[in-house]
Amino acid sequence: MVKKWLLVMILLWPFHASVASDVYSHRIAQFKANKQAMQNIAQALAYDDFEAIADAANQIEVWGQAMARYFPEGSNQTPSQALDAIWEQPEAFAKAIDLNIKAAQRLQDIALDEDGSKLPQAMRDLSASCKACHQSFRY
Amino acid sequence: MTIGRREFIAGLGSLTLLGSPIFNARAARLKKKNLVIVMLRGGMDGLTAIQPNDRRMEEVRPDILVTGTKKLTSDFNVHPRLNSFLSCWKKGKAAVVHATSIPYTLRSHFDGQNLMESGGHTPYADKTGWLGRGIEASELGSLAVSLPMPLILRGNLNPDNYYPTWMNLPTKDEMRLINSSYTKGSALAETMERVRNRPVAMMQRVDDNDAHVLARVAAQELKREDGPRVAVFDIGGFDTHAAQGGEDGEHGERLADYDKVLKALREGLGQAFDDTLVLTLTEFGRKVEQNGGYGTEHGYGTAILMAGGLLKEAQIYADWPGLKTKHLFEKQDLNATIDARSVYCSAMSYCFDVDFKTMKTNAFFGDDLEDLSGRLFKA
Repeated sequence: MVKKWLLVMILLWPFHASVASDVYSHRIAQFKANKQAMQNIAQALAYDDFEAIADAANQIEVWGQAMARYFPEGSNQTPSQALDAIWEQPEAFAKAIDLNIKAAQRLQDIALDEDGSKLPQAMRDLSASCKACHQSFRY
Repeated sequence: MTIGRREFIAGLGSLTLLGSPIFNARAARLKKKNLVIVMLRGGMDGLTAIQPNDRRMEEVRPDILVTGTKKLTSDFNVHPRLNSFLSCWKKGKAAVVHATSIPYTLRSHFDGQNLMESGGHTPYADKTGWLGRGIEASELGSLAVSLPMPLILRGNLNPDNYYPTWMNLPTKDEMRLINSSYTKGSALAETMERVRNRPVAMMQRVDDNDAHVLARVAAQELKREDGPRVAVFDIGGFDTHAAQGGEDGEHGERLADYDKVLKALREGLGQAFDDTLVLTLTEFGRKVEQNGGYGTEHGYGTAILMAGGLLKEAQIYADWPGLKTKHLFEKQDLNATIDARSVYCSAMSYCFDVDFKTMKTNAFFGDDLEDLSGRLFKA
């Protein structure tokens, strides 16, 4: 019986390790892309490049919609910087993501309306939503 | 780490060719003084780069305290990966402004980086950068190597820009033919005319994958008498929330990236390094105490690393606030007792030969900044 369990564990181990590794690499790549998108928006604001702002805001929104799926319980090992608070306070984490999605949507809408006067505040709100999540749920 | 294409675009790509006598008569009359800004994105930890001799550091950073630091003064040591900086220091060509920051305390990268480039008070409210406005105040004219222009270099009068290409350049005849297809006096025709009149040296092709090459190319341009006066580099990766490390950690690696750029500039500039000022710029420092992930969180006060022969002397210029909890900003960050914008405004005033008040008014909205030129730079 012990041998059988051992065999099952050996067979399952690489599978679990590989799933976790994919989760880590995907979300690290997505957060890096988010960072770049934020920098692109900041750059585009100086030029009133509404299309670029809307595109980048959309990219952030899309990742926001998918984000929670890439934080399965226990995915807080190196190289993750995720805090346990993500799984201890799932509702708070979901709310933080929702704020980020809504801020990205609002920025996108304003950019599509080509309303330059409202863009700086919308960008500050989006930036604040990133920061709030980082403060509560990331090292 | 090599600086890749993106950093090249924002980095050497932000090398501003400014004040060439070909473009501007005022530039031809002035002694050429180069100003190089190295933007360190992510929040450079001044306490890691230039470590104070304070026992509190051992208490609050037991796992990430940098060992093997080299002595600068009785009170401060330099990170061991900053070898070129130390070498400059020994020759009186490096200095530090410590416990300094731009006046931004809310610890967001995006907002902080926007303000460090714009020099403004509210994130995303300004569409120009302090260096761009300073260049305009100097009336030296400008031309940036950048696609697109980084915020820090943008002025109210959009300076001209170009970007080096890997492709073969068109011949003069081909350029003439292209130009003839545009309506005389049109914006396109004017643009092509400007391109035709540029020196051939500006059109050189470069290997853009190597930090040394990038900095060397910048140095070759900067040292020409009729060459540019301003260069801006961009190095990221200082946001070390986890595994910051000590001597060989992530933060040390990024400091080494800066040091490589400094080394290449120094070697490439040769004698012209004596007429050059290299300053670092970052959005904020990092918290004094390490976190659970052996990193540090976003903070406030940091350090400005300065190098070049235009410095008055090797010195740590600071009004040191101390590291006891009661002396920290919000009981967690190194306090900033010097407005970093005073340093940048002084540097522009000094390098561009524009009086401090004019520079302050034009580049920093007339804010209450202190002229530090006499304390930091050669008479």
